[in-house]
Amino acid sequence: MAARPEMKTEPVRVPFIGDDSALSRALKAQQPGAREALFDRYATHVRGVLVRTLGTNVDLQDHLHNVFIEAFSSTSSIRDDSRLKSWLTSVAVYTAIAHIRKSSRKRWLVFSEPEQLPDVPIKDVEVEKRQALTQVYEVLDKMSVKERIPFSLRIIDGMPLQDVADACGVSLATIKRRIAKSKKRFAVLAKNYPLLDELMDDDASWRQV
Amino acid sequence: MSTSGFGNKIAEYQDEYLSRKDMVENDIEAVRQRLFAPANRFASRPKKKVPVIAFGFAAAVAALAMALLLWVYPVGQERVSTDSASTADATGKWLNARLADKSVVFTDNSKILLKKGATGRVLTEHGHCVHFLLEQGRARVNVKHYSDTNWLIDAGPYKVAVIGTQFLISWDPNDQVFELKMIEGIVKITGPNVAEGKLISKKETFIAGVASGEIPILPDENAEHTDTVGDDTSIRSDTQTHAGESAVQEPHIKQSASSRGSRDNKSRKVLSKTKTLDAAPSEISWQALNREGKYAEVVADARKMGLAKVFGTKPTSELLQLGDAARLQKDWALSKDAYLALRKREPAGRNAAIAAFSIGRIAFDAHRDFGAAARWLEIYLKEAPNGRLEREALGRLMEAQQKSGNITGARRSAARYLNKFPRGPHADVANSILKK
Repeated sequence: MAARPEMKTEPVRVPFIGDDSALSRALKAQQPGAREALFDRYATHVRGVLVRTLGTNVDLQDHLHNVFIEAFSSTSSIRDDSRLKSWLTSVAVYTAIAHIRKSSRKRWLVFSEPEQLPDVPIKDVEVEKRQALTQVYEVLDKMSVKERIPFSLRIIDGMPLQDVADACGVSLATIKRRIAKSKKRFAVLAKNYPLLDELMDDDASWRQV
Repeated sequence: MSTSGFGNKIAEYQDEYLSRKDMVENDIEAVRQRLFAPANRFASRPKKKVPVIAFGFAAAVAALAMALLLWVYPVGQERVSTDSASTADATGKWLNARLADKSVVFTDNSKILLKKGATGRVLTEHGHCVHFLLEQGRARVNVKHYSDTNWLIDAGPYKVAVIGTQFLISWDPNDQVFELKMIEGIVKITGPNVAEGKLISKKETFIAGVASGEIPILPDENAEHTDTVGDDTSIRSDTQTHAGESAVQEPHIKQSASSRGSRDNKSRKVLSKTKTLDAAPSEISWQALNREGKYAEVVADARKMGLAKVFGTKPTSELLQLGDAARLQKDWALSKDAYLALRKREPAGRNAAIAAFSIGRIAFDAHRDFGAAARWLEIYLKEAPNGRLEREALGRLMEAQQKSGNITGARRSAARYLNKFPRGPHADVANSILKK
């Protein structure tokens, strides 16, 4: 059994013109070109969120793809059309969380030693910086997603508090508590990494933690 | 810009990687191709790589299957008919009946009639199995019964499993109201508050206000329905509540029916009555279970006892525990009902105030209904002026008022907050509100 049309029309793709509210409404109405417009407008931003939350030792293309597939299939969940970017950020964050949880389950299964973990595939970056990045994400891997995501978005990316709260789906007060807690936890865990410890020592705000 | 020197350095190191234009463009272009290249119009999640030979084999199998399908179901019998002049839609595409009724007729003469204003889509179909999504509006569904018939209809958070039947279904995404009226046959509904599934049979009507937290109504089997099949204004019920629900719900049901009635001029009457349940009393301390984080067990225990009995007989302190457990389980409807039941039983007092705060929190966090959140938080602050949740309630009230556009209220709350909690977690927000 199948439902088929009596006639088919090929939609004509035209560039989308309009602000986030218009784009959001167009997405909900499945207007031709709306999805591409969303991708064109925010692919770089989403990629940035993924890099901050997951680090660089991941297949960014796959995750970027997943975020947009998820976004396209859940446009009905956009509550405030004018906050399209914020909604998309939250989709990216939840995709990142799903990956982190999956990876952590895999780690339990594989029992790989730290020295066996693959290196961060970064070229043209000095060794020290590369080590710092590797170690930051090793520390973040030891934190819960509730701590890790706010830390990545606020402390590393510098995202406004309200945006972090929206991306994580919690209130401003809650996100402040989580960030403060994650900062303390990071500081404790980073003590085992001399390079990070040194970097944090240079920052007065970390000495108070 | 990062908020700390350390974070700034890490961001800077990362940006040396991020800012490599060729890498960024590479990633984005590759994903763009995956998502929008003509061959990938219906893009799916990335799959594991499969050898080329497997694709060849798969293509051959697909071609064979297609030939078989065309032989079993000749093209002449397959159709989507439309009652309007608008373009017909194919499976997987959007069905828009915004201008006029639109029907989808399947080869076995099963039919979905989307009423004017409705939208939906056929997600998947094979054999006598169809997965349909009703995005909004009303639809009349007529499914022909075969031994292998298996239909699933999604409407909002509810899923309707159909075997062979006729019914009217509607979903209002704005008011979050789901309704289903059976004409013939039987369906099984799963969703909020009916996670385990509810069977709805002939002449029964199921109504659920998801956003308002109303508990679904299941009328008795002998309820009368006076509407005409296929009539646009068809879902109407003169019903009684199901044994599983209590008088506690009555105000919500009546209010809901009234508001809907005024909205679309439908005549709806919902009469409720409470029946005595003979479930055994719970021996388990919900407080103890909550302390151990066993929220699911608390919810399950309450459901096992029967919510009507729980709401009507349990001490208010236990209702607070149930509300908290359900809230932590993200069962917003049950949580809100438990808190409301508590407030009905004990309109004043510490527990009632905490319940008001918790309802406000659900409206704020779960439903993003900042107007409702502000109202409930104000109730808390009025009922517990120096309560232990005062700081949090005042901070949230200020945020809720700001988000709901009540700038005057937000400024007043901000001043009040700073006066009482100058170094509280919402102090920055309060200052920013007052500076505007």
